[in-house]
Amino acid sequence: MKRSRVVVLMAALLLVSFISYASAESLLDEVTKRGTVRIGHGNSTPPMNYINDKGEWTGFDVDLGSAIAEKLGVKIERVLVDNKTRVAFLANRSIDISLANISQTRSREDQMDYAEPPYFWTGKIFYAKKRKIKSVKDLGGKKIGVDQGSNAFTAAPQEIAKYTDKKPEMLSFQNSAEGFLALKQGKIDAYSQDAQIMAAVAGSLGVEYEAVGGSIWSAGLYGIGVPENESDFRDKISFIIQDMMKDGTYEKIYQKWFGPKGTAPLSINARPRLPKETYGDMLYTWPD
Amino acid sequence: MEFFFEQLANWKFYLIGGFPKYPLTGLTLNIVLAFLSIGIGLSFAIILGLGRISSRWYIRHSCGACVDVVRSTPLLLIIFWFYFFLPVIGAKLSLFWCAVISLSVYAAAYQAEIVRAGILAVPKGQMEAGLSTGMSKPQALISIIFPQAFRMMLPSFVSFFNSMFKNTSTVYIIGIVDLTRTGINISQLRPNRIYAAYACMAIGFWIVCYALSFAAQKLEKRLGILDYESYKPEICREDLVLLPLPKAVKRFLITQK
Amino acid sequence: MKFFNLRYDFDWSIPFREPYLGWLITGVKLTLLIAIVTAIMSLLIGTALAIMRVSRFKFLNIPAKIYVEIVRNIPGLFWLLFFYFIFPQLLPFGLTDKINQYAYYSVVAGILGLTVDNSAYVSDIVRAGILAVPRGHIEAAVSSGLNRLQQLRYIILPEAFRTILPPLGTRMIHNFKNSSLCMAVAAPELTWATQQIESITFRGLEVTLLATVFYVTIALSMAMIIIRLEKKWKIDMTSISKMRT
Repeated sequence: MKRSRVVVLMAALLLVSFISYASAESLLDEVTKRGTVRIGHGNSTPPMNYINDKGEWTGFDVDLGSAIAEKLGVKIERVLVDNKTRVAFLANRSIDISLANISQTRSREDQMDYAEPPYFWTGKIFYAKKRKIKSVKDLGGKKIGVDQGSNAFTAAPQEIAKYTDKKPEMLSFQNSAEGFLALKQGKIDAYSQDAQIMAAVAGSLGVEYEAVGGSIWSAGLYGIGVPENESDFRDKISFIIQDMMKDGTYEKIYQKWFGPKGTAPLSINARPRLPKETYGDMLYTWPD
Repeated sequence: MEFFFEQLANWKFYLIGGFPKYPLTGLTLNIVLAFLSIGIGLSFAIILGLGRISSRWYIRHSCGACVDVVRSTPLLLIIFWFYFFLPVIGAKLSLFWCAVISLSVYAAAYQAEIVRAGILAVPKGQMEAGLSTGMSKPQALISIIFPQAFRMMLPSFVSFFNSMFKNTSTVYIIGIVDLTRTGINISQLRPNRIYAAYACMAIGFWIVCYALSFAAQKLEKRLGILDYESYKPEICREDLVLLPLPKAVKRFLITQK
Repeated sequence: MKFFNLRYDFDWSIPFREPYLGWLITGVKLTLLIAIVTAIMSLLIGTALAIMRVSRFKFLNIPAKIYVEIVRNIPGLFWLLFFYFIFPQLLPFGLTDKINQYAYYSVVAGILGLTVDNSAYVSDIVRAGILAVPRGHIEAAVSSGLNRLQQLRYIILPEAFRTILPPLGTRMIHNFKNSSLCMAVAAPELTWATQQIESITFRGLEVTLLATVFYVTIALSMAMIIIRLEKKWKIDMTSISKMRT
């Protein structure tokens, strides 16, 4: 019987070795030669990337992706990723760019690089019913929901541990919609997600909810993810995003989504920027 | 209640989403996934099913082992395997095809058993008669055994299609916008429509499944063949031998036969 | 270890590191708990439904038939989502809030959803078994003075369960595998744990492999137990051909 198992195993390994390959050329050349850039977006985090009620795949990330492809001069191929695969797909090169509300974290640096600067500045809040929870301290022992794949699953208990000994109960949902529904029904006491996503998911119901303590507890600087060790490609994408900020393309997309007349008006300024007291409202880009 | 009728009037969205302007979503996607996975699965299933009754022990056991392992792994885990493992070996596939492949693998393992049972249900004399008229083994298989076996398998296939159709809803977890995800999306964009959205979701699935099970029943009656496959034990017992088991267990299993 | 040019390095320390190990252990426990509880509950409900369906009374017969027709034709995943998000909202008398605040409701919802789904299939199988009991046995029971309930208890059900053991076992294995769907409602079972580890460490293959081994082992052991029982209790299998009439 043993022999049969060896035979099967050998065949399987042989097959694997045929399928796999290693590419030697740089990603930038590969993309130019291919003529398409594969950009990964999610589809369940309004207003960054979601399916609207016409069935259209849209959002800030999606528009930004189109603009980047245009600047690269290649066609765009959108790949659906989710919170769990937006980094993994980049690491195994299924996609060239990951534009799916990825907060820059150190643990993700192992698997990927980010283009400079982060394209969107926001932060995680604990979102809860108004007047129910006064401060982060009161979250000890409460039930807190997060998206599966969000770094808040480990970060939130650490944050709460700073104030109280009581450990929160963490639940992770498949997407923010289900999480918000659970919050609305009282299955969880707070939901931790980035401020602008929470505002968009809650929509008109947002008046009944607020950020616990009124502030962001963890900075979330969204970066454009590019594969690890692809310096040329990373520079190219960095320059593109900087150029877009200079020539107003970025601003146009920003206004479309977060401007006062946009789809999801945002009171805070989420554009990448330099410290206000020194630079005023100067954008965070590099001189030529 | 008025929301319910409003959502019902929005049936097109549940059925095809923004198609053809935007990618196909909704119930049609479930049906497409079911058709594709059953079709692709069937071609592998015929090979596996024939392998399971091969006279060569190594073919028989390796096919059996594949079938066993796939049949005892949850569909969700199979989907995750392909979702995360395919890119690792360098295969670049879109999410849709990833879902199709994992569903096909799942379907292939189950259909292999249907194929095997169908072929075994054809009386042995048929094969012998074919061989004695001078046909080669593959010839006899194709022109004598298959047509009869296929007739036997038909009801099982229809009811398997039904269960496969229901299984396609599982792919919503990897982000494919099928009917389940459509319903969830609607309850996200308009939270007060949640009951209506869930009701529409249920109605959509129910109509298709009911039609399928109705067809299966009619077919069974008409052909006078029962869907034996639903009443078979899950695991092919003779292949358990291949797995690393204690000796006592193996002996117990071998005396089975 | 790097073999061929897989773009992946297996790191087998991950599943044994805290807190991942803890998640996996909880996951295994919960998976087994969900599988066992749903198996028992769906067996009870399914048998009751089957008895209702073979009953002569329309008020028993029709509701059971409607239940089965509705449940069988909607995916199990829908029932899970339904019991998690919709069902508590429909309850009266402030029960909604009480249920919603219950910390482990996700597990309860998973159990309820799977039970509802599974019991319809179980009832179909049990019903087929009851119908396969030879007419003569029932007549013999009647003539020896057993009433309808006693017939069920002593003659029909024991015989039916013997005949349907293989398909029933298949259903239960299915049910065990379906417990992985509970991750959709945030119940921290094994598949959820593998995904959680994947999403934090970006290395999911090790744990997915372990989970697969776990599921395959349990499913195959269940199959072996069924085969053993089947052999022990074997009665003439040709009566199965009378099923599903």
